[in-house]
Amino acid sequence: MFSPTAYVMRHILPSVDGLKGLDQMDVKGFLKEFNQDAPIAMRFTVLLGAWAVIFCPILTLKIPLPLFLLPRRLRDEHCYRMALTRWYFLRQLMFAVKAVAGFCWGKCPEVRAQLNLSPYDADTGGFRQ
Amino acid sequence: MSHISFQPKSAPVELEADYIVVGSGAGGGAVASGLARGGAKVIVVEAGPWRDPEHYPSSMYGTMRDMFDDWTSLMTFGRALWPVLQGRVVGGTTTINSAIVVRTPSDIFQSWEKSYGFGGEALAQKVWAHQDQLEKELYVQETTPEKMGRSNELALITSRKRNIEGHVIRRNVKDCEGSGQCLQGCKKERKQSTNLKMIPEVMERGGHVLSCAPVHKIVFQGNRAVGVTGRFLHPQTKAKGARFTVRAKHAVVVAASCTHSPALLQRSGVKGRMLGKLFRAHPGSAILGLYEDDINMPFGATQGWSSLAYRNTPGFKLETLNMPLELIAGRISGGGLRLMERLKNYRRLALWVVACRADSTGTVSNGPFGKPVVKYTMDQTDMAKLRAGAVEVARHHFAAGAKAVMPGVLGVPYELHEKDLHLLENASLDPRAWTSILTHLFGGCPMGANPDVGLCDPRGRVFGYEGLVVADASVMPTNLGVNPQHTIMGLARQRAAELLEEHG
Repeated sequence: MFSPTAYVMRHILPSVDGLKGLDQMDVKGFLKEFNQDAPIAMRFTVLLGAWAVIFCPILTLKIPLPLFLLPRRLRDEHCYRMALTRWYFLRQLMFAVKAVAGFCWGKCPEVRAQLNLSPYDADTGGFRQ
Repeated sequence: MSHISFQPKSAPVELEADYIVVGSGAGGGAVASGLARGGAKVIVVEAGPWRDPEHYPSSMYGTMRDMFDDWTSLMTFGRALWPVLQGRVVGGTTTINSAIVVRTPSDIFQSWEKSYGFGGEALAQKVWAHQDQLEKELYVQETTPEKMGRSNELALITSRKRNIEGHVIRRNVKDCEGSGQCLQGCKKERKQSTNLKMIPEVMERGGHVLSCAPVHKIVFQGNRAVGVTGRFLHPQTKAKGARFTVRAKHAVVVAASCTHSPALLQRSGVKGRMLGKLFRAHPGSAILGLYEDDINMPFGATQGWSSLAYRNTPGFKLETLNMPLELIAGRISGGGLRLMERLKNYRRLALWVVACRADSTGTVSNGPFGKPVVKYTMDQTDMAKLRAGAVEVARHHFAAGAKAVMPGVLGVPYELHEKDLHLLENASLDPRAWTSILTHLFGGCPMGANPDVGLCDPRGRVFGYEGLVVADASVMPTNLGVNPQHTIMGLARQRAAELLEEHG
């Protein structure tokens, strides 16, 4: 099933030479966890942000097509420009998706190894009963 | 001693004590332990769960989920949406802050006396005496040079080189290991947050702690606060549990933070002209410096250096802040391949911040579903201070040898070199152009000499009510220009002393 959030997150933090990106990770699995854990307002904001990124190439590139109908180079250009758009509300929506993408990407053990950082321990979520 | 965590739906939990303390952070922990030492029976009621260091998360995802209040989704409503950062766990924000300890400057007590009719030298002496004691209890010390980390070290050396005031931060961290995990909670148990020191002491002295227990309302008999009610909330499933009622013989002490304390009082029907007013903050922005050599932010004290050289004029402070990779991914401008190329430099980045001593004020009210609503906008004068501070941070980076700085301000190029600094000096003063957060919150239940200028009297007692005391940063009518944790604790201990005196 198509996940707009996963699709956009993979474009925000894609793999580059020497650094693994979200396109090589289980983003849908992460989002399943996120959707269980996060408050509804945050989940809604991130989903809205993902749809905004998908349908806003008209504002950033002047191309009236959704993100998934653009060639790869323009998809990348759009993601870059969305983060810097002068439309504040859209920029904040993009920031919400990007922040969550960062949570997923930055805890990946392979990414951390590539940047010579220690891997994280598991987040148990435990508490004193 | 007892701790009552989440209770599934069943018969209501009912307890009674001399004092109820709502909240377990800097204010709640300090006032509760102070009262317990005086022989009083205290019940601490905390909305979040009790997580011990072995439960602390490592990643920022886990930190948002397990430690922060509502994933930091509380935003200011105003010209810009800026996130408000607070902890929601036993220990409150003391579990996730950088453990900075700064004694209350004397000018603060003078300004409170001049503008709000309380404070002065008498209060200063009392608060400082409590702070002397707190510094011993919490093992306040400077980080040793070998655990400072490169970013803190560079900032310190540079402040000496530039001949501006700059110092190693004193923190309530005992023998810091430099694991750089202050924001996630110190798994090494070095940070002396209130869940490790003060709350256990309350239990050892016969008190109780309710966790996973958000307070819905304060209960009144006439104008006297006699208890609190609420319902347990499971921290993982969000399932509602049993109802609880806790009764207080002497007083209900509210220390639930600058956002939750005024919201709780409003929800409980408390009236006061100044309720929810004079909300203030130290809004902060981060400037990244890109260096030739390895900086390695994850190693060292999360915050190890500070400069108060500009605290009074123009009104900002400078600090280092070692930020985890996940947050840097959100902070660096752009998206897509260029963002990833920029992230490759993570190990060569140092992040230093400006925190503005803003005069702008906002309001806090109780919103839908019991969530606080914060209305706050930085005015142009404060934005100019923030910008001046950002320029000063950039200068400090360049003096430290940075190749470039990344201010993250809309309309300013991603990378600035020293010759381009004028572009930052002329950056927009529109708050929407800046990536900022609100830490160090103040006000919402301010103290004052009378109900026209304060919600609480100079002893933190809410005007017009009996047995209702506020003991967190929400009582401060001004900001401080320094980290507030020590002032919150000093004032809270003073509140405890006054309550014990009042009730024998």
